[in-house]
Amino acid sequence: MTSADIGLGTAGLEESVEPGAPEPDHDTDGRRSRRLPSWGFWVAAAILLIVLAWALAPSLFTSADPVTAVPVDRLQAPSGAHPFGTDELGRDQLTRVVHGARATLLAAGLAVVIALVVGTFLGLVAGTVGGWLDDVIMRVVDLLLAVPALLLAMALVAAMSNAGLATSIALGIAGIGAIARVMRASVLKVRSSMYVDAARSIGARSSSIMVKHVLPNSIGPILAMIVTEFGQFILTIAAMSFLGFGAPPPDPEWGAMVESGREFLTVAWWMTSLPAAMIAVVVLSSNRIAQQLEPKSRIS
Amino acid sequence: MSGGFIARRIAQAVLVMWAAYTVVFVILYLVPGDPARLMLGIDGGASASEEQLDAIRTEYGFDQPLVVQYLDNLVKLLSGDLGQSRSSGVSVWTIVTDALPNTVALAALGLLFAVALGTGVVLLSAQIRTRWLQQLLTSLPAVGVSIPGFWVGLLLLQFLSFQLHVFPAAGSDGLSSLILPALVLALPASAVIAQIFGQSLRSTLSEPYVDTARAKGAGRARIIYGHAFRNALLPVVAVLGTIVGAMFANAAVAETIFARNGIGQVMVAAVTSKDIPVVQGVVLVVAGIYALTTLAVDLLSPVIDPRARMVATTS
Amino acid sequence: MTTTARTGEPVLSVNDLTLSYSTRGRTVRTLHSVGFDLAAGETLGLVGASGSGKSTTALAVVRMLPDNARIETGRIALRGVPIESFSEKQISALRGSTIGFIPQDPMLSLNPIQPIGRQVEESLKLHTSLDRRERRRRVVELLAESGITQPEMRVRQFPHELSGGMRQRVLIAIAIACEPALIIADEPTSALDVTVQQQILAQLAYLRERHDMAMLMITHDLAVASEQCDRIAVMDGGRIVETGPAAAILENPTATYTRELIAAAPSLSSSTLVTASTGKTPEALVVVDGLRKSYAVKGRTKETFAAVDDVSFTIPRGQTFALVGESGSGKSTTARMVMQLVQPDAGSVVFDGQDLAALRGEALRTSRRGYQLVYQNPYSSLDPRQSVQDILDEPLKIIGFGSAAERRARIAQLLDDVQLPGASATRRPAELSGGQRQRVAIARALAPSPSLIVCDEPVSALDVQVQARILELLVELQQTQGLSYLFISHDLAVVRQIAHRVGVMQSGRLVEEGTVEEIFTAPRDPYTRALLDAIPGLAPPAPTDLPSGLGAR
Repeated sequence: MTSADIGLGTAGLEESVEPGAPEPDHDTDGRRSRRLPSWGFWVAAAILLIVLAWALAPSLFTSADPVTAVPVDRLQAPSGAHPFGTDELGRDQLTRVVHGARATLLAAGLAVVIALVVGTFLGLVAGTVGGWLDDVIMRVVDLLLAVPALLLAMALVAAMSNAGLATSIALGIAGIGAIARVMRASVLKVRSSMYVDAARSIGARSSSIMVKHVLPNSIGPILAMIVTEFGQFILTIAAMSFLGFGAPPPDPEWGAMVESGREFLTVAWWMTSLPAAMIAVVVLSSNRIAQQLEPKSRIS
Repeated sequence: MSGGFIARRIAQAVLVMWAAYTVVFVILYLVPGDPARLMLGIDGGASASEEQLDAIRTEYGFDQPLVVQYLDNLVKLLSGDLGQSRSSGVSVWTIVTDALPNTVALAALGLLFAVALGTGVVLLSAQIRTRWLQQLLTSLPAVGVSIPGFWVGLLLLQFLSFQLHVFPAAGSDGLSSLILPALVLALPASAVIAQIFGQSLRSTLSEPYVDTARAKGAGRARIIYGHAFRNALLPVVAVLGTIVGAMFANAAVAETIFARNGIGQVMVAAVTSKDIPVVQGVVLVVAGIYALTTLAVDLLSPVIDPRARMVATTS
Repeated sequence: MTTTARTGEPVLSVNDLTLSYSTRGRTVRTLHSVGFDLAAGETLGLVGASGSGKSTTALAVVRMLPDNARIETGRIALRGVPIESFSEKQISALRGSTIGFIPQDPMLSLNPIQPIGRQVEESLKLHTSLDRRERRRRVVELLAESGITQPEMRVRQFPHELSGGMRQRVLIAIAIACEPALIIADEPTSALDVTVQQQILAQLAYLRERHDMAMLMITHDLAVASEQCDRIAVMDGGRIVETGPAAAILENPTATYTRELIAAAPSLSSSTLVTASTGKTPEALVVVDGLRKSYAVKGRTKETFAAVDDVSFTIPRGQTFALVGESGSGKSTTARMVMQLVQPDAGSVVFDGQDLAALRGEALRTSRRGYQLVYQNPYSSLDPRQSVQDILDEPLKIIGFGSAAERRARIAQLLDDVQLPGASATRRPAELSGGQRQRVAIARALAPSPSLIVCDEPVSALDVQVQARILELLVELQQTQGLSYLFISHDLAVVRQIAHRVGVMQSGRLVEEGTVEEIFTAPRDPYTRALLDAIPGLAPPAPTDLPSGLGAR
């Protein structure tokens, strides 16, 4: 759950100029000042790229086997040979974390795609067509908020045999609402702005106005939101696998790894904490990137 | 407040419930896969015999056309019949109402913690003048939103219960057993509240009417608490329903870690055993709680925000 | 709360004030050695365009500048006491008690969820030792003094229940509550309709007199300053270019800048840009007949109010018809109906012989080439993501103008027509000044070679000198290209400069119509007369029964 879920975007506040009021001051040099991203952004981007690479090609990073038990190595603390230590079956944790990235990231990615495609479409339609269709769509979208994502995921897992897919779909559905809401607000703001009016008064067709003016100007707020949602999905997916509703063992998955380390918390802290830290780091990185993508608000 | 306004809000709450029911129905009965098989075993019922499958089908009406099933179940729902648990045979209604009070207590305390913590961190950072401390406080919500709640729960359990024996490790009785799981629920929610409230407070403080207060000679504290606070709280109140709903869902994790009885644990067990009626029951209850919270917020909005009073009296 | 003893010492004395802002490592100096004195009971007007530093100076006195502002040198003395190095706590004690501040925008400057009585009471709570009952009584007194009717009832009302003019009166009440020696009014009437502005200024004059307060008035409007202030200080680029008694400044300005300001102010000059047409009125290009538009009242679906009620007029070829009115008069809605952007409930618009309402689809779109629109806000009417080249290219592409090369040539010519350098083509709106953006908007309107341009408050958001340039440009284009204008404005003084015929609107109705000469020298309708009377600086019209100025609307 994030503020993104709740659909609070910065999209919406048009600055009005009263007749007779003098013009507000602008940057004298005229250039649109764009803040260069700080080091935090680059670190976050690097982390995400690495983890993405893990998900796509884990064997590039580690040659060890994440699944086979090596009893002689069990419960080893982090060392040169095993940077993340080993678990109760002697498996190298780092290898398992690398391989575990796939399940988590791909599930989160699928959910984001679903939410993005459906949400953008609904928001665009609701904002452009307006009228009763807008009302209906927004009502439906609001109703989707009534079932929290985690619960929806659990319900779908109960109904489907593939737990991972079930979670993805459920999260995607749960994420539609926030994106549709922001997209619609953005579209309305752009539509009511004068340059669209001006285009209309020149005689441009509605469809070309949509594509040329409305869409490019509305996408901005969505971008930051998607990246944040991605991070939140990862948390929920991890929670699901922690509860036992993820990929079946022995396939590695971060949440499940935290769970299995539970009983060894006192003797082998690395089993729970390192995968959990990994989750936190990935989510933090997505949030940092989203922060950079956030359209600059007028208040600093 | 006009009767029409109240009636409309209640109708909305009912609509939410109906929508939740439909969503659950769609998920559970339309998803590809034989529900009968699903209910018979974790292995997808692959080992079930045809007679067993048929028995399930007749018992639960899976052999009926979907529309009939939908309406049938709806009617039953309206009369309070949520069916029986597949695993235990106990009425779903009983299971749910037995488990609910525990979770409500948990969520209530969690909400209290979340609001106190979330607004507290923001207010503190608005008043503190030391740079580094302020930076630290403002970055807390971002971290809070990123840390897996279940990990925090495990750590709290380990250190405060097992090692330091400050709080009981398990069980559902007594206030002291509530505190740790409530904290686990509160942490992510407080981070979200802090983010919303923080952004809202920042934008409120830059509003022209705050300048007017400054021009009157009001000091920083008076400006924050006398003017900005109430205005900034509005967006948080608006999303209270979602926050509460999410808490109930996260109760699944908290109750599992601390071995508490409650809706969350019931749900986890039901999902594991593919006990569809119970799953349906829990989802409906949580949706109901969301609807009730949102209704309460809506009905209270004219009290909190005078600008909403006109809407309430004329619509 | 004691009255100022007239010791001859100025209430406010600013000396050699130099101030700079630092953003992202760069330091920009915004005030250069600003200095002036304000005697007890006197009103000084600080006049200048946006960016001149007048607001910055006022905020510096009360130390309400943003954190990155720094006073480099200079002295600010309040009743002889230097306050420029006061701590926040010390100056906080002065705010509201010794220095009252009236902010600019009444719509945003009151707390929306607090009753107004409480907001006025806060001033008293902070600085006086009155008990609650006395405070409440005083609040009612203050509201009444500020011209608010039924103050005992209004105390419990919220800002959104009051009009703009009333909210400004509440802000005035807040400022004078503790009987400060000095009042700083930051553009106190810029956001208000002109008749309301007149009332508020009169109220302020009354209060100044009664409480013997000194006032520092910040304004961009030289005409307002000349009417309301004893002395004027003209600012430009962070410097004071001239100071002196109001009448002297206007009649014998010494600084070049002051002369330019006076020349550019439409209400102060008596010349117009357009010569009154002699001889026959040319044939009509646009005939508007019986336009009506009603909207449902928010919240009450049964009730409707008429935004435009039976409006008819004609626009002759090559001439300017101005539609004048205050906010809510329906002039903008009328303009949008003429442009076929809003569907009228009744009435017709005949353009060049064609009934526009009868057109649909492709035919309607093609007809649009004949009439174009220029908006008030030059930033929001241009797509911020497009370059000037793109913005001007779009209408050409839509009408199928020609090859890319031909379009480029046409764009170059358009830029030339509006007196913009060719290099502007690659820039984006954010990189242009307000005046430049408006020129781009005009160029875009000219692109399809229309016969009518509807200008909706095209200069209201611009500084007075830029405004003058744009008006000159519009007149020149009219003369060289034979354009007709439908000019919408709330500013009669501007209208007088550019229009041939004028229509005055009030609450959706056209109350009077005639040539510029007729309207300005012999207005018949009392509302027209009230509008004219409210214009600061303009010579009053023939007096028959002029409505009085005091009292809340």
